[in-house]
Amino acid sequence: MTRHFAISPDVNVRHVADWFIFNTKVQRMTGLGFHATAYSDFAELHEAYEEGRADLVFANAADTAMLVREHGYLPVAAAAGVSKEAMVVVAADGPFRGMADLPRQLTVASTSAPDVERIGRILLEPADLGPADLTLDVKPNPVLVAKAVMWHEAQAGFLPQDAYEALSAMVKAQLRVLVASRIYVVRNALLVSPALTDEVEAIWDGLASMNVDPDCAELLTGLGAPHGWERLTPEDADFMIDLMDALAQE
Amino acid sequence: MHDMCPEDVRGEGRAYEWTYFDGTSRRLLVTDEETRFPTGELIVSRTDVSGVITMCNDALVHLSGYSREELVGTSHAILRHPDMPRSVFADLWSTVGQGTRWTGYMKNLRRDGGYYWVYATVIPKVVDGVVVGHTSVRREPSRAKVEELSAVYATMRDEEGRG
Ligand SMILES: Cc1cc2nc3c(=O)[nH]c(=O)nc-3n(C[C@H](O)[C@H](O)[C@H](O)COP(=O)(O)O)c2cc1C
Repeated sequence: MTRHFAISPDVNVRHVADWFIFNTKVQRMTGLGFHATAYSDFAELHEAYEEGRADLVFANAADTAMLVREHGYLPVAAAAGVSKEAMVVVAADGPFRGMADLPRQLTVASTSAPDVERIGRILLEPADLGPADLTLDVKPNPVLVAKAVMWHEAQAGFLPQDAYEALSAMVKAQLRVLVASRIYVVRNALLVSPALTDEVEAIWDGLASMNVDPDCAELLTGLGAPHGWERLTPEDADFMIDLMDALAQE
Repeated sequence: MHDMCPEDVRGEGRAYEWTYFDGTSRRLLVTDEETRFPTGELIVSRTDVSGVITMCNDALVHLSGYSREELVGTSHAILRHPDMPRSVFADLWSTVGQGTRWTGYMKNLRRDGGYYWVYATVIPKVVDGVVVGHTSVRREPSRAKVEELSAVYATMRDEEGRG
């Protein structure tokens, strides 16, 4: 039976190769074989979840909530001290200098990452912009969100902070950050399917050994875990899941 | 809940002998000092079914002025501001009691007698059809809504028969 490792499109696209190296290491450390797939599209990732092609998953907070609550996935680890934050950006040469300048109806470029979208919407609430006032223009990745804003195709954009920081200085100079989140409890997580319940400890031991291996330092940075992995307890995950549920606006 | 004491309060506080829903009472000291909700932050807390805080994040500690030790194990009513109409909380409890989410604006009382406004969502946690606890997420409210609700709540308070 082939086991699958599903990598969410949220991970920094420049470091996809590192996730394949990570997969090799996990296989070596645990003796479990995984076929790794880096998804570039959330629809494909969700198809993989539905079809059981996701035994090991690096998932965003919204998917973590869904996988743990609805499919019995188990949280294993998260990048130590790293949280997922989002920001609202506008064109630097545009008319909006602050939140108070935003119009009553707004077109917002965003990727389909649901956690970033939920946080972005919350950030706009103080400007009296509710769900009905926003028209989302979904882009395949954060770089295209940035470009849509720079080129005035969208009036604002939602970006994950790590993606914003990875943009070139030239692109950043053409954007203005109106507001950024400081939530700290929303995180990407490494999860396993219920079929791997008995392997959670072995996988965690493998991750913990990476934390102390100097040869892994560069890899960990590439994976977005410069301070290594930390255990994500079911209680921590539960807290984050409740938060994601509360932010989902139905 | 302990009485509020003048040493903790910034400035001259108006005193209230406040009686809570459960019949307990506490001396409140209330000032007109507003603390703005920090932009970009969220307050998250969880309670048991009766509203006793079981977990909260650092943002609640910072904005309320209470330590985590003072908050956890205490009723969420520790933040209740006398300017809030009773009917707002009655609506909150009847909504979450039915297993549905509640959203609304709240003026909360700080440990130092001042206040802060939030836009709050409370969701009940339902396990096997039974409500086992609640989670609340609070964020920065729009100023227009704060102005509007201050007036609305004042009218509601008058109708409830207190000034
Ligand atoms: C999850 C949750 C969060 C709450 N947060 C607050 C709050 O921030 N401020 C507040 O005054 N009441 C809050 N309440 C309501 C209180 O439990 C309480 O009903 C209210 O303060 C009124 O006090 P009383 O019912 O004793 O009169 C919350 C309730 C729940 C279930």
